[in-house]
Amino acid sequence: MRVPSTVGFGEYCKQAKKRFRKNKGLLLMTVLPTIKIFVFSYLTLFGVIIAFKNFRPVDGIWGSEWVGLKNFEFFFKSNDAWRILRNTIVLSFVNIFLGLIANVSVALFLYEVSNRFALKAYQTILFIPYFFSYVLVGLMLTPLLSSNGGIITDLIEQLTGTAINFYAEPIAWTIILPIVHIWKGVGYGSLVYYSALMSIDSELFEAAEIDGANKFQRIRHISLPAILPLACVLTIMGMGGIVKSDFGLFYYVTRNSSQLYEWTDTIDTYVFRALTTGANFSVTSAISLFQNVVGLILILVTNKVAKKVDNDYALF
Amino acid sequence: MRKIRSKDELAMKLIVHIVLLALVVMTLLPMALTIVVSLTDQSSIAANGYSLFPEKWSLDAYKYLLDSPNQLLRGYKNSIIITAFGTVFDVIFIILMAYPLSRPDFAYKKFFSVFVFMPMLFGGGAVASYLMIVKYLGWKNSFLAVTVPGFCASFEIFMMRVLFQDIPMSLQEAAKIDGASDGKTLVSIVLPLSKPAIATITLRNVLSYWNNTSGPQLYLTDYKKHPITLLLNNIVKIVEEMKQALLDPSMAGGNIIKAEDIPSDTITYALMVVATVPLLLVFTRLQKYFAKGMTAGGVKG
Repeated sequence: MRVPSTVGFGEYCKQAKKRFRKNKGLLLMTVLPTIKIFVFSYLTLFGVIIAFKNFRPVDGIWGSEWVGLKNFEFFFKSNDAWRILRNTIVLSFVNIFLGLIANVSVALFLYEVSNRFALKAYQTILFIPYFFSYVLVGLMLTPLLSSNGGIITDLIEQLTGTAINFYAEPIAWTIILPIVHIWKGVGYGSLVYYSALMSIDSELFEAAEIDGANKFQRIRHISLPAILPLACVLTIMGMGGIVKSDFGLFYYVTRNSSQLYEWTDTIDTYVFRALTTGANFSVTSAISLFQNVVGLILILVTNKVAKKVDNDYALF
Repeated sequence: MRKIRSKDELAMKLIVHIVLLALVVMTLLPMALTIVVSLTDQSSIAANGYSLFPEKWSLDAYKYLLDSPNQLLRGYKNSIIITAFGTVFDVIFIILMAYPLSRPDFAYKKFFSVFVFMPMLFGGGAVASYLMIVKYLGWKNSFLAVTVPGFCASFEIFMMRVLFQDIPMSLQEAAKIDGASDGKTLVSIVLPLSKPAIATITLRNVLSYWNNTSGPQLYLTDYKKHPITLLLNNIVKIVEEMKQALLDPSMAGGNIIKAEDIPSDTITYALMVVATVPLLLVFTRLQKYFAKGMTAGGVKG
């Protein structure tokens, strides 16, 4: 007769009890965070069913009537769908690529500064906007872009003779928002590339210099290849978050101005507005679910790609 | 001996500094403009628009702000309460989950790793969170609504875990042999050794709670609960209200003030300056902590 390879039930219970006793202290620590995560990240998963119901607050989530895919149909047939999907993707793309170029260039420039004091001064100043809330940033734009005596508006009027009202020109914000995004983030964003550059062996540069490579050749053949994997991975990971826009940038910097929705309204701002104005929760929920599902697929795909480029940087 | 540089090299240096100086000027321009506008006389703006070099300077905006400081002080108070409560408990929650996950001998490590990781992939969405907070927990107009949902974000737990893993396990084992409990090991050995990591996480949280605007806008409808970012968001309306209060003879202490005398434009900028400068002074000094731990994270390990 074969001896059973698994232990008996009683033995198993004994082992489990022993394991529990040994880990009691650590388990006790996890209790509070576990409750918080369970309530806010797992219980809320049931909220997904609102997307398939005609939710009315009086009926509650369970009591509301099932409507199948009607909410999705309603959203995708509306005029808003095309607009907010286009804006979310286009603006995220522009932000990621212009941000990448800005961060890498600033890091390369900073790397050329040998004076310690100047370097510290540049870095400190470029970092300041990182601390501002987007509400503040949005307000700071007024004296620059106001149609009523804004500095940039006046300058353009003097140079070209035409007056532009930026707050009534949605398309202009596809350029303004990425600039604001860079202005706020370049001090922080360039740091990671700067530290990658700092870790290059200086002997490489010296050897190249002896071989007669000029400054540009050294940057092209040593500096850039050194930060390329990092840049690839960060960009790929950025792609994973493309359906989740930078909410503050699109909502507060545009002052939630309805005149600008045509080119600034994204999924996140649309959902937030629906919540603040108490609009149709079911349709909003459907949009949210759609965003989460696409987001999940993108994260899984981009993580796989990132793993191929450099396993160290993959998320999981 | 100093290395003799070629002409090209010097030209390159010059270009680098010129570009960086230009960037610095572009970074500082909106800030300088905000400060200058707050110190400009209202009539100058009306006549010539905004300018870095106004014709007439004035402290009126700050004077008006100091005359009715209640709203500003209340905003500051609310911001401080939200930030202090949120940061302290958030960091405690992060540590309580990250420490067991950092211990290789924790038997349920795999289960909790997956439990913490899943929310990074998929969530119930904004509507579900809103209903949970408002309908089921009843936290409308409570500071809990703008703090608790942000506690122990998965990303931060994993970041903290990586930092805890840097602490040699041998030290913790030694403490265990001496009879120290897990809690005691955490408090007396691990935490003192991870001060820089905790400082980094704490500051990131201070910044995000202080700047959080969308949470308060959704959940704090009572204006008495508004933090400073929300005051800034509603600034146009608030300045209008201040104007009304000042115009009310019973409030102005008998002085009669004319509507056109009130610098409503510049008050906005004065409020921005007063709301931001104190925090900025603190943060700029602690900047190096923000840079740390940027790349830490990742779920593996």
